Amino acid sequence: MRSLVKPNTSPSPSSPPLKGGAILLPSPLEAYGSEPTAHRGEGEGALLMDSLKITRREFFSFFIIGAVLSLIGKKVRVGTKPQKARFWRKINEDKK
Amino acid sequence: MANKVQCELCPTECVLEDYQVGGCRVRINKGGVLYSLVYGKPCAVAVDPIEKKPFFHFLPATTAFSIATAGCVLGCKFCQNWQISQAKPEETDNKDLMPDEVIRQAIFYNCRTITYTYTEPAVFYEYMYDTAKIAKNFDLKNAMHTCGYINEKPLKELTKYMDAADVDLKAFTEDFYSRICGGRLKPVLESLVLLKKQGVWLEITNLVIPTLNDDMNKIKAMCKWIAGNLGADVPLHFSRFFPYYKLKDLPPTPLETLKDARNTAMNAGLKYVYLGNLRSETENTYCPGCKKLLIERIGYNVRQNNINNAKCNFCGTVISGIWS
Repeated sequence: MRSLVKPNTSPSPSSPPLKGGAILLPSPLEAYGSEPTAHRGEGEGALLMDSLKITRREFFSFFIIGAVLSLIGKKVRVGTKPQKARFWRKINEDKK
Repeated sequence: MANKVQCELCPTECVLEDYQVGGCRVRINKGGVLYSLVYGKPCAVAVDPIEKKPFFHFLPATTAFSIATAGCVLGCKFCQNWQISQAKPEETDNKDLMPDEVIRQAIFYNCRTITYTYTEPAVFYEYMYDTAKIAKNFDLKNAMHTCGYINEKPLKELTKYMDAADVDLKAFTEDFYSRICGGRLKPVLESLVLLKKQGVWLEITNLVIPTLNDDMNKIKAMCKWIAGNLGADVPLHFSRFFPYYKLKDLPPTPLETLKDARNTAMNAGLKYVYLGNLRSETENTYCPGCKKLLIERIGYNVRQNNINNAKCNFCGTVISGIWS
């Protein structure tokens, strides 16, 4: 099965600047931790990458378990009757 | 559309199409029937000192089981609880707490009172009414902190079970109510008179906001109205403004302004005038007869209480309030 982890596509420092001189934002991965500095299959970075790999099946399993736990946590009550309010009246426009 | 309804709870009296929600955000027309979206779903539940509400002449040094739901009938630009008052019920973190459970919890936490507060309790009228009704069977008091923006009929019915009310009299001009709160002053004054007439213990809070409602002539007019229509023994709390919500560009109320307001109120004949949101001796209650210290407060704590059987311990002057 294909891995969900895609290789980082950020250009290297030696890449030519983008058209219009746009400033690159940090890659999304950096928000959650540094990208591995070693090439794939080398050093500590490679170990980290391997541990982050999840299959599509694992991903959907986690997703479903999370959804179920979330529903239980929020104590969703099916069939709770709404409470009728007091102090209101129907407007019968036909009589006007 | 045959399914139109008009809400008659507050003076706004929203006319609602099918599946439209009222301006309070918590009452919805479904198929020509108006429903409350917040019954038994408080977004705030806490045990507070009664002094926090603020009630200074109502069971001092006791605790109050306090509840609130999302929503409000007004849209004050200075609201201190705007995160819940100006929110829809689906935007707040709500608990499931039906009226009987509120009572059980209040008794468990040894509270003497249930207070309906933080947001405007009129928006959860049905929830408040049912809870207050049950509370009476268990010797619990009911108190609310309200803006008083509620129609006469529902308010009159509520007073059967309500022991005390702290009403926010936000200013004494229609212009302020219209521009800053999105409401009107007149219905609030009518609510104050009705509460007094129905025998509900009444205290009034006025948040003094620099440049908006700190004109001493207006404050004087307000105090004279209170003394003339509600009585000189109604406690008045001038509260210090801090920049919140949509009025972050204004500074906190200067202490001098608050002191001037207090002097103005006492010169207008009011016997009990307090300054809130700051620490000073103006939080204390003094006997209007002998001027001696009756209740010493530091923040929400009562240090000493020299009132016995609703009378001053030193000279015997009757002190208005509910003391036991």
